[in-house]
Amino acid sequence: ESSSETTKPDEEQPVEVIANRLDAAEKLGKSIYIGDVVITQGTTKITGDQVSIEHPLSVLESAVATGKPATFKRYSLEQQKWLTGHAEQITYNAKLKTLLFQGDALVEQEGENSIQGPEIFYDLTQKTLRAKGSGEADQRIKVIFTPQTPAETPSTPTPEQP
Amino acid sequence: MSKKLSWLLFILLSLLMFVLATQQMSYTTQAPAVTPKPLETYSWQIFDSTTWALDAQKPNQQNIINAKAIYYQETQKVAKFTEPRIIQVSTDKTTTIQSQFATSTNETQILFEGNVLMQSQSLNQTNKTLKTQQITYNSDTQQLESPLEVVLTDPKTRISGKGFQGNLEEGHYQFASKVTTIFSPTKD
Repeated sequence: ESSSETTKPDEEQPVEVIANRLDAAEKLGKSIYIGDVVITQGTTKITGDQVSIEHPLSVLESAVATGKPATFKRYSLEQQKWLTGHAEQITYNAKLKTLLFQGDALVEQEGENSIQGPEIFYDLTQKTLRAKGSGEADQRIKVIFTPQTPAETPSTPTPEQP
Repeated sequence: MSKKLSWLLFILLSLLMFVLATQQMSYTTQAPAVTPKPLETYSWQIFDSTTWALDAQKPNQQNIINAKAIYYQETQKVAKFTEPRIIQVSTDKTTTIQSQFATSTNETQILFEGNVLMQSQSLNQTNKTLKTQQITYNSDTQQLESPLEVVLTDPKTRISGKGFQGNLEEGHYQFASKVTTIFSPTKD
């Protein structure tokens, strides 16, 4: 890919879907890809055992990936870091630019924090995360903040040890 | 004396006949045994032709068959085409299929081979193109099938894979292996 291609935002790049099998119902604008499915759009990559894609008039609108687990990763140009995640089901809405991780979901911002729970919603435009859990033991939300290493902390004078 | 002469003459003649005969034999044994190949006999054949097929049941649809050569075998109901181009025109859609060769059997199944190109242009659907090296079309079920790679394109997508089966009329098809689809980026 030429350098101008790679600096283009992911949403302005073609979407490539690779799989073992395909079952398409074109008039309905629906396709089911089966077996080692990999969806790539720029730096965004989603994998799953099976992916259902809605593509009315041949325009990709949404993709629902299921797997053990389905995985997601994307590179943020502004933060110069990878965002990765996995869940039993990942729904990518290309129109709204949102991601919904459902079932044993985990989303991690490289070297910063990670969030776990039954359901996590990520807005790619706003870069906001929302997690939903319930009172039951295995349905709670867990957030881990990674302390910044010294190199990253701004140089503020540390108080003298007594 | 004359008796001796005629006897000698007789021997020379038979010797000569013998030499000729052996040479003839060696000649035939040297020539390769060419068994003439039975010519495929056709009931009829036609060259550089264009034929129209109109169907009383489908008044607003016609099929135009254009071919460099058509050879038809009545007994087995087999037709062989060279450079066929079949155009199906209906009120809202035109589908063309062309290839280097085609063979139709029992007048319902036709096998297209060599640079097969199928194009469908319709008023209410995106135009589609199908490319492959071999595909079979069943006119009863309108089912297409190919064991080789097939590439399906329309203005926004490109799908390729092997083991294609489907009905482009209904827009329902499968690929059995090696599937790659590319959706063009959308302009917001």
